[in-house]
Amino acid sequence: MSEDLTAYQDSIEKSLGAEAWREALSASDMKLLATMAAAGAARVNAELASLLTDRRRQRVTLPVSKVVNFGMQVAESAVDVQTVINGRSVHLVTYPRRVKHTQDSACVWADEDGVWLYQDGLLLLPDDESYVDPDDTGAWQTWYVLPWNQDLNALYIEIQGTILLPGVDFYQTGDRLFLRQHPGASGAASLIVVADQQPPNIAAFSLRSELPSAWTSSSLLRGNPTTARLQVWLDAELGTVRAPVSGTITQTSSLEHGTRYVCAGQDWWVPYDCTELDPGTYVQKGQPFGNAATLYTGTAAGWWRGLDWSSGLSLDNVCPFSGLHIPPGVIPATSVTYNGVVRVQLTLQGDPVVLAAWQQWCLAAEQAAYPSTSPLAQLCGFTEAGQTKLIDGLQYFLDLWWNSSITVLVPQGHVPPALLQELRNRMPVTSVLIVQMPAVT
Amino acid sequence: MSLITTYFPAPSDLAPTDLQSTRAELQAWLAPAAPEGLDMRPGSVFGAWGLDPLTILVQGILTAVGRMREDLDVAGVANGVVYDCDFVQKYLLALGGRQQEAVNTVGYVQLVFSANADVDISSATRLQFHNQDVYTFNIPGNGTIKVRQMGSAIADPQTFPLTMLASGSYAVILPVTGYSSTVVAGDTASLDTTIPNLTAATAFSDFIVGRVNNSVPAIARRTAQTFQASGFITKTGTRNQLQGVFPDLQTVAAISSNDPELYRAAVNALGVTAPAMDIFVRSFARQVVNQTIRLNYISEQNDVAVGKFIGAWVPMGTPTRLDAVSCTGQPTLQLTWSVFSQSASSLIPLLTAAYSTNENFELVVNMPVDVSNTPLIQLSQDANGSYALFTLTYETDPAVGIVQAYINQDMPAGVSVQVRAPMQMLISSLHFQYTKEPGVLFNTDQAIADVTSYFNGLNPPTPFSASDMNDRVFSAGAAGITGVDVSGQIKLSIADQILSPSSTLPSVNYALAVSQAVAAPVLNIISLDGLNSVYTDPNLGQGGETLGVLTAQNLARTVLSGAITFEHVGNV
Repeated sequence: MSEDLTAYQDSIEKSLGAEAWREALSASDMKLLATMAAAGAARVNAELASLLTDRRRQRVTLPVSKVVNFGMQVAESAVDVQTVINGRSVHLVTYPRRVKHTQDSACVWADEDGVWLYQDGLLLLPDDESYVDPDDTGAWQTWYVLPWNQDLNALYIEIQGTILLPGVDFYQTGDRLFLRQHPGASGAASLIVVADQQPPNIAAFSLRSELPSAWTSSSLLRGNPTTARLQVWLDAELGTVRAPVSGTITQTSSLEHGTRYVCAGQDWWVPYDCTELDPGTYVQKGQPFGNAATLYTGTAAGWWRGLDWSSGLSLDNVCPFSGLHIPPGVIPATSVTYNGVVRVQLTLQGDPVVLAAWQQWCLAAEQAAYPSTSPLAQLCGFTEAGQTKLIDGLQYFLDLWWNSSITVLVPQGHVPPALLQELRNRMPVTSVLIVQMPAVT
Repeated sequence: MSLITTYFPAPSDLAPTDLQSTRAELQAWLAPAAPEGLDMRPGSVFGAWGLDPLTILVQGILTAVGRMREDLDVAGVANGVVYDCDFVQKYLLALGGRQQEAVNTVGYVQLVFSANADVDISSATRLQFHNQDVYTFNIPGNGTIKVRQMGSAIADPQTFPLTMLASGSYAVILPVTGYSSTVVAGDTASLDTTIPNLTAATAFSDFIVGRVNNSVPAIARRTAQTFQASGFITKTGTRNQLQGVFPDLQTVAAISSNDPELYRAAVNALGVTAPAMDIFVRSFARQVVNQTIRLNYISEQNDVAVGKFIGAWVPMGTPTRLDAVSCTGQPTLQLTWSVFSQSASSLIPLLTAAYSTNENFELVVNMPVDVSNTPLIQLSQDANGSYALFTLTYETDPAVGIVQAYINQDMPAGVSVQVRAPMQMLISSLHFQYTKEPGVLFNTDQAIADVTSYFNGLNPPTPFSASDMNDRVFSAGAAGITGVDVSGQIKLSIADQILSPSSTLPSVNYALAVSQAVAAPVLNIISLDGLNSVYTDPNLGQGGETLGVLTAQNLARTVLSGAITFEHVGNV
């Protein structure tokens, strides 16, 4: 320790070119800095700067008996360690230094709620199965947790003269302190948390902080593009605000720009004009304020029927042919013989020349996949050429063909074409984006 | 870190107009608090001895603060302006951006054998270049590398059929990986095991060192960049993944079912897209190779006279440009030929399989005759009939097949992925007319190198820009450009004729094949606008459809050797 301290003193002298700092620091401060330097903590210079300024600090003594042991052990197979932090269910996992793809480890990620996930440290993973560890490299670990005043920023912890460093020996997240080792292991009955009033931020190794809006797209979309992530990104691009919690609105304040709502212990600002909700109104988490564009990905058959299809479905961007449209309701299906096999011709709305080319394409394509039979004809019950039937066109396309491989965008209001194209670029390759056109009024 | 040495400008660098403006602001700010009647005008005692030096100091502080703010602006840092690298590096670290690890050097090795025979090679075999640089084979799935006789089916990613280079000489191209070195095309490797029939192991192309750019601006770019996780879930992720695994890829572009031009995704009974992705890769390992193939002479088929050499052409790697076909032993003989292409899958029809490993080729060479109609190629004869050997000279990209094999193992289930080389734009002539200042030397070599480099660096979807190109000519000494003439072609397939998967091959019935084939579109470039050409098949769903499509995403531009010329038309 003394060698580290001396080396660090020298380096500070060289970098600052001043010696007065020595007198300004107490012995415990010097010990903290040396510990941080020895641990390679990147925050050491910022810590020095804060020590040299007159910042109000608090020393909070916490009894070790308050420590909650999550009791989960490191195991080969993943052990699900769950807890609720600030009302949100999360997994706790340490992320190993070994990373498969270097670009992944070089950046900050964010989850669906716009919360930072910091790599190479403790990761908070959303409890929605959107995260799948490809190599099962996460080492599930026991954490020792202390309740904490979330208005205070824990700077370091002293246990019987030993200093624990933030981001190294412990993490703060919201109203909890997470320690790697049990503070009572050395026989101490209490620990002292040195804290200041500054709220945690990412640079101080906090794990949760508000996502700066400018970083939304760059950090949010680094993860797998779940529908929820794409929705957050889309909202950020369109400026849409959604209710962060479910509950009854208790207070509203009309501001110069927009409205501020209080609900279920949280408040949020809708910075644009839209229909104002009254106190007493119940809002669902995720409910948009004003015009929004919402993404839906189906799972069960017929899920799409809950959406408004009164204007039908345009096949632009999901078909090599332009201008074709599936009308709501039924469309005619006719059986024809194509290269000796009874197949089906569907009639959509659109330019007759384009429609004929599309029909020819479909016949040839089905023959390429099924040279001697036609699943579509069997579905329609056709046995010979010349038969006709009215079918639910939307059901054929949405249920029978796309099934769960589509994401439907329901715009309320204008979505810029460039943003739509960007969304298409960011869609998972396993999904096709279709846009439900608003009904013409 | 000293703020003064790092961020403060030299006093002489302060612009007089800025000083003047700052002085005026200071004077206005100070006036209400100054003693009444204090003369602050320029030339006054206080003005000269007090306010003027103070103005310089304040202007210096303002500039320093501005520079510090620029260091905190990730977008600005990403553009390459950094005043304090150490500080910015730590700042970026807090934002999650940090130096990346190096990745391996990769390349391709050509193994040449003396016999057309099956050989098994352990993937643990080590190759040593320059007696010091050790490489191993980089085969997907590892295991045994199965070198198989010519024409063998590729049953798995470990199978590599031999290709005949010349009589008694057969070769395969295998990917290798190792650590830093300077292996260049043609360097010889020694192997630590004995492989039957092996006569040579040489570097097929220059090896690419997977060094990662760790400059501060590059880290800032990565921090601010909107990219998705490496992997095959998204187009961007696919690009990240492949560029990380294959640092020798010059370009990687992907189109998916959310891009309407991916025609093959809509090859189904309802004609709408299903999950699919085409990935276009172009590697630095592209090389021009000579391959010898045997073509049978077919005098007639079904009692119809043919009089042509016809046979399958199984190229080495994925051919991107066919330069020449000559008769082996009679290289000066003028030949006319055509290449037929047929997709191996009915679900990847026509040109949707172009420049991929799903293409099968047949080569048809007309028998040359003299004025008296006497055949000029001497036929050889064996149990399989009359034949002649032909030498094909073509550019090939070995990365396409290797990337396809890699992807086949890692792709999400239910998604059809095809790896292709991009459509090829071949610029055969690029003629500049320029003026220059009297006495100024125009450096032609530099201009050719810079313009060539510009085209090589045009990665999809970056469009061609005439002004960017002309800048290269100006920097070589031109004062003006009075005209640029360009000519070239864009080929949507290396083949001339495209057959549907159900069509008859020329080797079976040449006349029928010709009647069933459609000509591959060739777009002629006659102006600079043509360098940004796009094309979609106008005959979709009708007779004569080719399913050809050209966008900024799937185009690669190549300036042929000797194409760039300059003409000095006068001085300014």
